[in-house]
Amino acid sequence: MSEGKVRILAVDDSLVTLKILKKNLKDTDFEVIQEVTSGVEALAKYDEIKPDLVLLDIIMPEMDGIQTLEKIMAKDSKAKVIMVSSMGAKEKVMESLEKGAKNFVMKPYERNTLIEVLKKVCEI
Amino acid sequence: MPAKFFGQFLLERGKIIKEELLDALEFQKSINVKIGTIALDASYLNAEQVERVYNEQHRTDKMFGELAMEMGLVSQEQLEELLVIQKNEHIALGEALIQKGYMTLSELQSELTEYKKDQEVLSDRAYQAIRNLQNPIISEVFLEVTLKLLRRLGDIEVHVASSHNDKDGIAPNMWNVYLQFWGSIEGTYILSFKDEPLLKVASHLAQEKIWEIDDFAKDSIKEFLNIVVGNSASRLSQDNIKIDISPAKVVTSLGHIEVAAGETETIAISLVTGNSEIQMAVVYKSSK
Repeated sequence: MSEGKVRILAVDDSLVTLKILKKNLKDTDFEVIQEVTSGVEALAKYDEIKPDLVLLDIIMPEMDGIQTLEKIMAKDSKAKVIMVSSMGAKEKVMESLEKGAKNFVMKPYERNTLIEVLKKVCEI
Repeated sequence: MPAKFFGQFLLERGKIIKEELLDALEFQKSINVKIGTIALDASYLNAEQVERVYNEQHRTDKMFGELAMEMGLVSQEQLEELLVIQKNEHIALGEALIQKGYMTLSELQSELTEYKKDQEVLSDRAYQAIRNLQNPIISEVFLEVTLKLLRRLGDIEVHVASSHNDKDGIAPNMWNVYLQFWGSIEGTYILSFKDEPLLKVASHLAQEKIWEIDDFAKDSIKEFLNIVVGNSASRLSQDNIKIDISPAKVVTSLGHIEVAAGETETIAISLVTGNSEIQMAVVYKSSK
């Protein structure tokens, strides 16, 4: 992790969700340095910006979050990815963890819950 | 019937780490749940009382239930109830976490209390309104999650006014937001809004006032549906009804709502808020 704030790549097809996420992370140790609305864009930006952390939605058109997770982990086995999704079924949680996600936050989430999970994953 | 898997609830709260969860889930397959853990979950005993019985058990060769009765902690009736109680998944996981040393009894007691608070249940009144509908589990779950999230994310209190099974009577309002799902059941979930309730839900979710139904408002209301149906899918999965969902879409009353072809069942429930109405409808067919 570089000095300063944890640099986040946020992936969600909802602009509202991305906006709320940035608001929630204001004045914390975390900063969304890039937001994208699809899995395809996420893969391209991952290589470009090498984020410290990826926050990844599951329900997205074309390439969903689980497929995106697999491709990110194939590129970088040390990638830190947290799934942020309304689909909190046990199978989805387990599939995400088994495919390399570090944690899973279910929408709707409380701001403090999100920040605690981020801190835990980044060990700060 | 909780929406959230207990393991994920604990992960999210930082009570356990991923490795401990995976280990405990594997371990829970091979263990029997102790009656003390079931008593804790049923709130018949607290962690300190369970510990006292366990300590007493070390000095005698008596069974947990027998000792708990002798110590005046449970009645015969309560003990009989505990012995036949359904050992649901969160109890089994709790037992595994304790036996593995990842949680103490008192931590488990506190987490079970928080977990139950988090998983609200539908009021009797709403249950009565859908009692006669076909496939009650699906309608109950969608309705329960819709009511809970309209209140929590949309800041709208609604009550169930009426219900029907007429496919031609769905989506009566100007704005119809829908989402398709498939898997054990294939179908479409629809919320039909007039301007005012849609703007209220969209604004509250987006955490800023939205004055007109523009792309930002539509994005917000679609995200609301994604969350409602995603949370419903999580809950249905605990009854072994597995569904996947595609992102939500918005159409006006002139637009086309994609619904499953062939023979379908329809549930339409009118939810009244102030002097307006939101209709929740589900059109589905069983694919198994």
